[in-house]
Amino acid sequence: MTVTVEPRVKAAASTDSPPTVRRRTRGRRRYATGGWNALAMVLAAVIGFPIYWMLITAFKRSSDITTLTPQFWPKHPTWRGFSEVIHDPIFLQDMRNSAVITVAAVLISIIIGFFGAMAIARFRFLGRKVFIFAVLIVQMIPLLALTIPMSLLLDSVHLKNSLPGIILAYLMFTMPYTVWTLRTFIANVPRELDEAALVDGCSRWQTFYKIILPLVAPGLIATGVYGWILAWNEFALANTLLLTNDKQTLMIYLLIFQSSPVHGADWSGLMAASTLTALPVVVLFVLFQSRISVGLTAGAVKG
Amino acid sequence: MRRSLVAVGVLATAVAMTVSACSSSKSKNKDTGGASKPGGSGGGNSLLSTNGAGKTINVWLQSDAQKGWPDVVSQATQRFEQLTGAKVNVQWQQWANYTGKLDSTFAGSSGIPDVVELGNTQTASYIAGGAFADLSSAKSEFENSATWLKGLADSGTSPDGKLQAIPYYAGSRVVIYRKDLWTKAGVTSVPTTLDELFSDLDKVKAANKKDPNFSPFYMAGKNWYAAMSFVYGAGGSIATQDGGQWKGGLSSPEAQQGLQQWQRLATDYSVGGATKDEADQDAIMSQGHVAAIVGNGWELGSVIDPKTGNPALKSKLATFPLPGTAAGKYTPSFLGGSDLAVPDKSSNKGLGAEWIKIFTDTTSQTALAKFAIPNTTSLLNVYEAQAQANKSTGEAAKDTWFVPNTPNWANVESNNILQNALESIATKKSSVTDAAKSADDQIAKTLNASS
Amino acid sequence: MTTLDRPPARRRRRRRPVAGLPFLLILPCVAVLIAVAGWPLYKIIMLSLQKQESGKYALFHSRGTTPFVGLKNFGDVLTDSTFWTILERTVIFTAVNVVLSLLIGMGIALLLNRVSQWARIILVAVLLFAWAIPSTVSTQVFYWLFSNQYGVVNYVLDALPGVHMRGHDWFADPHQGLAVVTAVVVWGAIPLLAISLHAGITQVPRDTLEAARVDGAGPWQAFRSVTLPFLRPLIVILTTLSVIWDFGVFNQIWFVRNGHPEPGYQTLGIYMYSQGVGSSHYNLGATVGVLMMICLLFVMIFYIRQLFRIGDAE
Repeated sequence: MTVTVEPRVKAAASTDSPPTVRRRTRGRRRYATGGWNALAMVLAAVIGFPIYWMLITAFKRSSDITTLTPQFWPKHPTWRGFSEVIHDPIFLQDMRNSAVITVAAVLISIIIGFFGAMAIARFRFLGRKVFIFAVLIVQMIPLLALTIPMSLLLDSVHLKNSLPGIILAYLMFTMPYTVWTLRTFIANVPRELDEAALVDGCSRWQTFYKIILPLVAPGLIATGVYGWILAWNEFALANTLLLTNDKQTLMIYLLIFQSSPVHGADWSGLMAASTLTALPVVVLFVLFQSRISVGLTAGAVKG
Repeated sequence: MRRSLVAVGVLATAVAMTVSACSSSKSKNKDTGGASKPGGSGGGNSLLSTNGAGKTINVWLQSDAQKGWPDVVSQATQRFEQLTGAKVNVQWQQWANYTGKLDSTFAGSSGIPDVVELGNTQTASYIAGGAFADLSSAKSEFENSATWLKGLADSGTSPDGKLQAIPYYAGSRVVIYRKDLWTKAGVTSVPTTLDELFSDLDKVKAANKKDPNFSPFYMAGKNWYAAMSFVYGAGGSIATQDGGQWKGGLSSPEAQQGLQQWQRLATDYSVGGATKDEADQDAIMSQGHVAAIVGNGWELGSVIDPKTGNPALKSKLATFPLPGTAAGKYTPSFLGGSDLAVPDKSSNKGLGAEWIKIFTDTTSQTALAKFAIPNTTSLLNVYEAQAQANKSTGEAAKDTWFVPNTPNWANVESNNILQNALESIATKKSSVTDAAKSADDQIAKTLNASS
Repeated sequence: MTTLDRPPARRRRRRRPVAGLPFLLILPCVAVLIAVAGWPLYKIIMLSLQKQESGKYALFHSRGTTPFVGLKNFGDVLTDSTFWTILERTVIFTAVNVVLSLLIGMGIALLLNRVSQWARIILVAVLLFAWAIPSTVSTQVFYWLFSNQYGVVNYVLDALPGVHMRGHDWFADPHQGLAVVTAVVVWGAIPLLAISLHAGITQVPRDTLEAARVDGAGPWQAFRSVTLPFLRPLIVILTTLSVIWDFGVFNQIWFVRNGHPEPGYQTLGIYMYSQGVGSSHYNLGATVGVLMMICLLFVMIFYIRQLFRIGDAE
């Protein structure tokens, strides 16, 4: 499974990058490139090593995991960890929950965040600064301090232990970032374009839809991916707000491999499950690779 | 968190022979509480309910049962469903951040389970918080309640004697050792005193001195369960209560002697564990450079489990109770375990209590005795007959110690007071005396705090 | 028909809605902010001003007593020297981590700009993968790598001539231990930073760079006088984000100490958790949480001013 990832990463990346690459390669001093390439590979090896270690640990027998002479390649490779996880109905259920929660939180925050960003980028209105300030402040609230208040809040509206409830809770950290990033993005779309569109007889809604939306699409994708990672990997709130096994997320699923009073830790199972947990995010990255990098910055740089 | 949150537990045991100082006062009240305090929340004889048609109860059990004894759970559930007509929804929980989850759940009004499992050292703070239903009036309806392991039963009883949590299971700590390595070093019989243990370890150490990673007796620097066993074995205690005020006890001469014995193990016979806790000692032992650990009986299973350890060691492991200062006397073991309780806010308290009753009755506990120490002394023989290791743990369960049974104890654990002190001893950053003194101050401050 | 109708319709839309439109647009955001951020925030602040009597009882029972004690909790926390030690450690930790993350991120971004396509694809792929790993898992892996007896790092270092690292315990000294934590944090942070900065660099106007070069600027000068100013807004945003993350760091420290962080490992995030959730002193936890936000606000004041300047410029 994981083996196929690498080629896909390359394939996707290569189809996406050529134009930028060609532009940038032009006029560069070629002779130094070999050295830089070598340095890049060393860095890739160093940064990639923990990932590599996670992957091979997933394939190791437990007695091969912590050895005095580290095994840089599994001596007795086994699929046990992966097959147990894949055949665990709870894992699939949790994967589904994580997906529903994450997709919903990200979509909602993109939609309403886009509107909010639109407002502060295009209009001056009473309370605008307060709104900007609020959006910023919210990002500073430590999530860990929120577990009890958030739990009481959802409890009072009967949304505790429900996917809609946790989606709502996740908006707290996915939405502000979206507003914040998209603001600069929209600000970079020249106003003249709106004006021109209006003169052309577009309604305001059509201006949104036909002019601004396509131009900020990379921003939407980038903020979406960013929010995806936050929501997908969130643990503290999920563990507090989701009480029953049929609602829990993958981050909570990972706990069952940890050591407990009665059992040692199943490390290869944990690493297999972690790999499978990270996989959807990696796939997402691969799909949107080029947009992510453009999107993460285009707005910010010009702003 | 994990192992420590949990676990810990309590004590005592089995035969109810020895009662540690701190819990004795409580045990006295307990009987009166059960019999003569009808008040409580449920009240009267209608406490347990078998009328469950159309209802579903939610049971929170730690996934220990899911991995260890799922059949025990399902047979109890089956019998319960037949008897009451109610459905049972077992939700497997994890120890990580479990108290955070319980706190936020009990603070609200929705999603309240009808039965929860708690580690013994956790129960006191929840009992003080009024989180559980009072089951005192139904005590006699729980099978074997007269022979419950005393330590477990005490941890589920409030200071004024109300029964609020039912004993579930226990585990006691013994020495798990590599028979082959000991034999090779010339040690053929199990030590019966601490002095013998140390001289045996010297032999094992000498026989393996070529291996710089070798631990004759691996002792994690944060293993406070083990360290406090030596403290209690030498006649000391973690804390004592005098006139309502707690006082740290680690500076007493007895406790100092115990800590020094522990320090000897941790520094002279153990390699590489000074800054660790005991959570991964099974995995470390499975690597083959450890000749002994002190751990729960079931950790032997972890060492040889193909998922968590090394099956090749299967025939090479054996256990014996940690010897004491004199022959025939053990170093008391810390008896870990869990309780079951019915949350006060549950809407099906009667059914919840009924499920606990079935899950802790003789049939269930006999089945459970294959995996862990059952909640009653009357079934200890079933447990001990299972395996050699069980013999030692059953034996060790007869002399145990308990943490100070007070609501604030959980904070001593969560603030890592003992772990930090012990680590500084194991790493030789501070002397036993200094570490004990600083721990005593913090223990007193924490236990005497107003909330 | 429609064409005939449109002009008046447009005029109506342009004029009337403009007054209310921005409010309409922010309405969903505001609703969310108030509901899932404002209310809990209010709750945290209230908690920080109250005292729960009798342990958890007040938490579990609405009839429990939670008297207001004003700023007493703040007084208690602020007069405890532990807090100041921890604050100092957290500030230093944050500074080191933010600076390291940004420097390495920028270095990799510049490197990405220089290497061949295949090398860039490989490095970016590795970065993306690293980004996707939850910090709990990456921390566990780093913990293994830095394990004293069984760790790869000691094994490899020990193999170097003249280096004796066998059995070295990285966690015995909190400074070294926090260095390991820094490695995990930086490792987790550089993907976002490097990829963002790289994308930013690709947008530096080429003619400006050429002009600088023609003026005789070396690569370093060109970087300083053209690239850096161009990237400034992005760097400010990334710095802000990094400060917020690193100031509240929890997982990496918690898991590297297996849930038992020693005093030398306490940062504000850990302190807040062990005071609040761990010890069920939710009032104190909330107090520390509020103090953390105040500290962040102080740090951010520079940024907030910049934010409003941008806002005004629009």
